[in-house]
This record gives sequence, C-alpha cells and structure tokens, in this order.
Amino acid sequence: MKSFKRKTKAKKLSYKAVKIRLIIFSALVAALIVISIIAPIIEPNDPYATSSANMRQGPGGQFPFGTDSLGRCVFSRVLAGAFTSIFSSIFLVGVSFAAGTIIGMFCGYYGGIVDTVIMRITDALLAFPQMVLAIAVAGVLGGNLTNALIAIGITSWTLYARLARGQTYSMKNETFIAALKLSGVSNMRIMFRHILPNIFRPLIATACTQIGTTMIYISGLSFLGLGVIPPAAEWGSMINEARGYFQLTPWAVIGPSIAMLITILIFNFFGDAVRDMTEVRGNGR
Amino acid sequence: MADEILRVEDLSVSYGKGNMISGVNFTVTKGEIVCFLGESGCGKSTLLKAIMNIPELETVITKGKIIFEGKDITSYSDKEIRSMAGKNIGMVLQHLGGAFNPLRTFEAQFKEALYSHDMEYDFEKVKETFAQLNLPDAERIIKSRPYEMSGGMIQRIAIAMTMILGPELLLCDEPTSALDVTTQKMAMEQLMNIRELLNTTILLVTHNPGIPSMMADKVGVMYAGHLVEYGKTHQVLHSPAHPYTKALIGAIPTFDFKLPKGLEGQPPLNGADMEKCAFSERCPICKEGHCICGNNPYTLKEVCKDHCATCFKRD
Amino acid sequence: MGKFIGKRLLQLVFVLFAVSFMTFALMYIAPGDPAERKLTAQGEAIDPEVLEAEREKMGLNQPFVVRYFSWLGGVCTGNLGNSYVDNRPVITKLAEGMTYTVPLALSALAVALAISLPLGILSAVYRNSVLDVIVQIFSFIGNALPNFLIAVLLIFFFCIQNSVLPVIANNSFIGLILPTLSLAIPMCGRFIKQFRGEVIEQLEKTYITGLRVRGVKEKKIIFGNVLHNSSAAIITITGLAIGTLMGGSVVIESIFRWPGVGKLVMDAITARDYPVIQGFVLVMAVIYVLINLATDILYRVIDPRIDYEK
Repeated sequence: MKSFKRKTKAKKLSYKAVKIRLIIFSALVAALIVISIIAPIIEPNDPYATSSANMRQGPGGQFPFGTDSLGRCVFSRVLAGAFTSIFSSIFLVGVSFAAGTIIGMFCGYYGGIVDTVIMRITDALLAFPQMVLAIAVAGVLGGNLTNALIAIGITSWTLYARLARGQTYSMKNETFIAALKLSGVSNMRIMFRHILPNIFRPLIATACTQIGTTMIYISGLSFLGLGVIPPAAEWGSMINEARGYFQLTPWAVIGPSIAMLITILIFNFFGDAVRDMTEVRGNGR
Repeated sequence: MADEILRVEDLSVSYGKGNMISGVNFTVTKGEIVCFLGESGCGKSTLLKAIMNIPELETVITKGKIIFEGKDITSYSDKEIRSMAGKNIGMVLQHLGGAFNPLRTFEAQFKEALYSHDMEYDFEKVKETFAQLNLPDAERIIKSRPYEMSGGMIQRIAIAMTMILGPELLLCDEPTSALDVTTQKMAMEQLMNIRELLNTTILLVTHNPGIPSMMADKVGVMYAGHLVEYGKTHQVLHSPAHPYTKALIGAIPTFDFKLPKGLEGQPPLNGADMEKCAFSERCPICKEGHCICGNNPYTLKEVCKDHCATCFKRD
Repeated sequence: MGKFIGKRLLQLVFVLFAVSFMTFALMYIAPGDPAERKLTAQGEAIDPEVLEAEREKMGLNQPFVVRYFSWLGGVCTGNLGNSYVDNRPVITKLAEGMTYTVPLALSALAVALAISLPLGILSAVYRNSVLDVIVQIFSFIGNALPNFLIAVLLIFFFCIQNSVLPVIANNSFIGLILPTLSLAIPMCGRFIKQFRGEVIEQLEKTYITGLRVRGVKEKKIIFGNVLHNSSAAIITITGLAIGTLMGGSVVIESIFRWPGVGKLVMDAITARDYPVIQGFVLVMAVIYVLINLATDILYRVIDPRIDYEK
C-alpha cells in the first residue's frame, strides 16, 4: 500500500489565528500602557533621586537593574521612561492620524484648488527624508519633547492624508453617497457619518503599524539630545547618558535597551495583527 | 490494449479535506478527444488537476491509480512528475493570465520551457506552429510581451507552446470560457488541428454541452464528484442513459425560444463522499417514486458497447 | 515612456521649488534674529551698530520674498551661504562630509542588500520552514532595534569587551565596519520583511501555475520569473530606504565620530550654525528626490504595463 502523503500549502491568513494574535498583543499593549500609567506607584525608588552612596551599584536587592553613575535607580527610571516613550508615540500617532484623516477626507470629498494645494504640500514634504527633516526642525527649534513631536509630526500626517483622500475620492462616486446627497443630507454628515466609518479600518490599521516606528524616531531624537532633556527619564536619552560609562555600568544601558526592544516588538506585532485583521475582514469575512 | 494511453482506476482526489471526486474509472485511447461535462463544482477540473498532479495544484490522490502509457504515475515522485509536466502531459489553463508571465517576452518564455526539458529552441518551428494556428507575424509576436496581447491571441500562443513541447496527452481546463464566441470556435478548431497534426490525445473539460458535439470522440458526464456516464459522443448526447445526463442535455438553451428544462435544487457539496446516489434528491425518477437506485449507485454499468452509465432505466 | 519622463521632470521642478521654499522657511521658525545668531556663533560681542550693519549685509531688512529669491538664485549657482562658525562656504563643508558619508551609506546599503535579498527570497520560497521562522525572528528584532541601540551594543561587544575594533571610526576600512553594521542591521529587518512579502505575492500569481504546468524548472521560475517581476518593487523599496539611511547616518556618524555630513549637521545644531543645517536638509532632499525619480523610471522599464492584469 503506497502512501499518498502530500502537504497542502498553508492557506492564507486564517481569521481565527489572526484574532488570537490580535487578542494576545492587544492584551500586551494594554499591560504596557497600564504599567506606564501606574509607574509612579510601582517604582521601587525615586527615579530622579541622585545619591553618591549608591553610585554604580550592580543589579539586585534594592535596585533590580542597578544604579547609574549618579546613583539613580535604573529600574525606576526605565519605568518612568515608559510613560514618556509610550504616550508620546501614541499621542503623536493619534494626532497625525486624526489631522491627516480629516484633511485627507476634506480634500477627497471637495476636491478643487484646496485639494490640489494640500496634495502638492504633501508631495513636497514627502520629498524630505523624514528623519533628516525631523533632526533639522528639532535642531533649529531647540531640543525638547514638544519640539521633537512637532518635528516628526510635520511629515507624519501626510501618510494618513493621502490614504484618506484616496479612499474618500473613490467612495464619493458610489451610488449610496449620491443617494444621500439627493435626499438632502448635509456634506458634513455624509463625511463623518457615512464615509468615515467606511474608510476608518485601513487608516487605523496604518496608524497601529506606525506606533513602533514613531517610538524609534522619538527615542532617536532624544538620543541625539534633540528630544527629552535630561534628567527627565526617557529610554533614548538614558542610553545616551549611560553609554559613556558602558564599561562601568552596563546595566544602565541594557535596562532601557531591553525595555525598548520589548516595547517596540509588542507594538510592531500589535500593528501587524491589526493590519492582518483588516485584511482578513476585507476578504468578506 | 496497445493503443490505450490513459487508464484511470477508482480514482479519489481531495484538496486536503473531504474528497472532491471519488471512484472515477475510465480509459482513453491514443488520439482521442474526450470531453468532460458537468456543472461547476462537480469535480471535472479536479480530475484534470489530479492527472497533472504537480504539487502546486494542491491535489491529493487518496485512492486509485492513474496509468499513463502503461505506468502508474500516482507513485511517481514530485520530481518525476515535474519532468513529465509539459513534455508528456500538457495543460491549457482556464485563466488567460495564468499562461504566461506578463512581463517577459514570449521568446524568453518559449526558450525557458524548452530548455527545461532539454529541447532546442528553433524559431522556424515556432513560426511554423504559429502559422498552423493562424498567428501571423511570428517575428513580432515572439518579441512582444503578454500584456500587449488580446486574450484570444494569448490563448492561441499558449496552445502553440503546448504543441511545440509536444505532449502525448493534453489537458484543457475550460480553455474557452474566457474567450468570446468567435474566438471560442477558433480555439476549438485549433485543438482539433493539434490532434490531426500530432495525434495528441486531448482531455477537455467544459460546462458547455455544445462543445463535445462539435469535436469530441467520447463524452464523460460528471455529477457531484462522480463520473455518471461515459461513452461515444453521439450515443451519450443523443440517447443519454443517466437521468442527470438527460436533464443536462435538456437544459441546453436553444434558439427556438423554448425555456430549457432546468433541474431544481443544487448538487450536494459533499457528493463525493455520499453513500447513496448524490443525484437522488434531484432525480426525476426518484421523485416520481420509481427509484431505481441499486446497492452500488456509483458503479458504471454497460448500456451498450462503448457506452456506460452508473444508473439508467432500460426502456 | 518619453511622455512619462517628461511628466515626472515637470513634477520634479515643482517639488524642488517647494523643497527649497520649505528649507528656506526652516530658518524662520528658529527663535531669535539671524544676524545676532551669526555674531554669537562667531563669538563677537553684540553691539547694536555692528548688529545693524550685519543685518544690512545679510539682507535681513528686505522683504521675505525678495530674500527667498536671492537665496534661491544663490542655491541655483551652488552657493548655499557661509557657515556662521568658520565662514567657509556651506557647499564646501558638505562636499567634504559627503566623501565620508557616501562610502558609509553605500557600504551599509550593500551589506543590507547582500544579507536581505537571499534571506528574503529563501524565506519566501521555503515559507513556514525552520529557516523562514528564524529569518523572520531576525527580521522582527531588526525592525524593533533603533540604530543607535545597535551601535551602542556593538561598541560594547567589539570595543569594550574584546577591543577588536576601534570605537572612534578613524577613516579606515576597520573603522567603517561598526558604523556600517549599525546602519545595515535595522535596514535588514525591514528589507527582509518587504522582500519576502513581495516574492510571496509573485509566487501566488496565476502565471506561476502556468509555468509549473509547462514543467519549467523551479530554478528558472524563481530566478527568471519571480525575481524578474519583483525587481521593480525591490528597487522602489531600496530607493525609499535611502531616506531612512540619511537620517540614520546622522545618529551613527555622531556616535562613531565619523566626519560625514551627519556629524557636520549635529555639530552645526550644537553651534546653532543655521546655514549648514539648511544646506544639509536641502542637499539631502534633492538627492532623495532624484533617487526616487530614478527608481520610478527603472520601475517603468521593468514593468511597462499600465492597466493590465487584475
């Protein structure tokens, strides 16, 4: 009796698998957010308290991740930095998403000269490499977190604006929109009640995939000294501060590095899961 | 039989889960054109894919044998199957986009296929084949890319490609369904040409019952994963035995403004794995209460010479 | 094709115009008076008379539009102004920096492509295999690691722990290794993900079945067809990555004290040397725009279809 073994090719994304992934990573994202909010409560030590007595102590005991060259608790600083890193990224993505979506929707819906001008502006902004422009703008404005967010935000909204514009434009010509117009529904209502819910999914999926990237940008600017100003705790600036003493206090670099790697990984996986979910749903599920 | 080219014995095929076709038996003589008829989903395309059996078609043979030129090809390794593909068993696909890489010239793709089988590329032969298929200006065509061509042209070039590879058995999966009526007729004539020129055996799948009457030597009728009737074309089409074949022939739209007598209901989805006759739900004989389903509803019985059916009512 | 290039060139002129305008405007979001900043940068005392003379010399008393066009006129003839710090022409400083930045960027790009292309293709062809899983884990981690973090970790392992390689990259081949890797690793993460996706997309196209049914050898399917068809997208992805590379080189050059344009601009930011910042942004944007134009044209050469294939 001969066997008829043959592997059938793995099918495309299965709804169930994507759903499980989405639930797991949503839970992890939620956990990160909760940790960063309750950081002031769970910090074992004051993240800003310097102490010459506790300088450069190795991990363990009172200081789980050790202390840095100023005697500050690295673990507490990593926790305090979580709030800055996570919330500034989510805030920036949220604002770019909202602004970009609304601008793009108006452009796509009304068209005309305003649309042309705004789309040419996005063309020009996309001509700059994003990080190059961000470094220059943050450098000119002077380094602090607000300026870093502005510097990255200048270009990040264009992504959503272009996507929303394209989607709105193709949606505008659908019969149900024409029917709504004929029945005297106001333009605002058509846009926010009928078009927005239909174009929302791909936009939010894009936004979710951008959180990790944004975190890398913000921490990069902080690392260069163009974002969060020390002594405020932020992972990028912590790594920059501690790298000079890497040999003496490797834990002061490794602590924020691992926190950053894990956080960005979780947000990237979460973004991928949201995007896959919209794709699976989009296939008529 | 000396001139038997293909024998399918008790073949069951799945795509990983339930069987799509089961217990199919038939033989094909060299040089014949055999046409398989049936509704969409009846397993006729699966049958062709199973005979081709390259791994990417995802067919899994769960039972039975396919004997091609005296050898059981179901026991072949994937590598052996691949080396047979194109050269010994050719296939013309249903989707026009599926025939050629849209971005590369036909010349590159002809060479690629020929070199894969250690054959020489000879432009004169290509030109000759193109001429036989009414494709003028071979020099220009061979240098162009598929996206510059119309669907009918691509299909003819695809047929030319199979002719140059010269398989003994050619499988055509609804080769005409994507073409318009006039090009359909031309493509059919070309398939008949191939047979005349190269004595190629052709297995053709279609849902259009008009096609077999035009060109086929034998017709097989499939229903819900089973071969229910198989025999000489004029016998099957003019004196159908199986109640399903009768209904199918009755459903051909004609130009005399009479509505076809369609069948009510849908074929069962898991027909291939059913114990009782999958057609009994829709069968006019069963509905009238004169059920003739026997214990072996799927065994082909001889109606007369060269004509078998799984179920028929002797008049 | 000619029509397409003409249209893109017209677009290019417009985009370059807008880019120059935005770069010029960058100076005006900076707090304070440019003349005062210039004098401070050169370490001169702020005397109202000297300041006024400097303002007049810099043309700051003229309207914005006039200043913009006179600046643009200079830019078109290759004059990006002089540095506030050492009064040398910005264009010369940037050109000097480029002789360091370009080799670094090219070697990073070459390393990233040399790693990502084979791995991306292999993991797509052997999808769901052990190799694919390992490559994907590498890609996910590469994607989540900022370049400065890689740089710091590399310095730790190769320079501090083992002192195999120098921390400060003197202009030598050995010095180039760590900055190259720091730039290449995050790029690999992204490339592998995108290349893999692109090759999988091609492998799922219906024409692949056609080739297999014809018995075309697997090697010919992958190298002759899949790679041929996905090369257009691969070129576009690579072109876009050069933008990321430009930003990354600022960070990496500062860490390794590599005397390229990235370090130049960071020093300029510290010294508030605005013409250098401005010149840097403008030059980077122009290079980026030209690279993207080139990739667009290449894309059209490889894939000349317009509305074909569903």
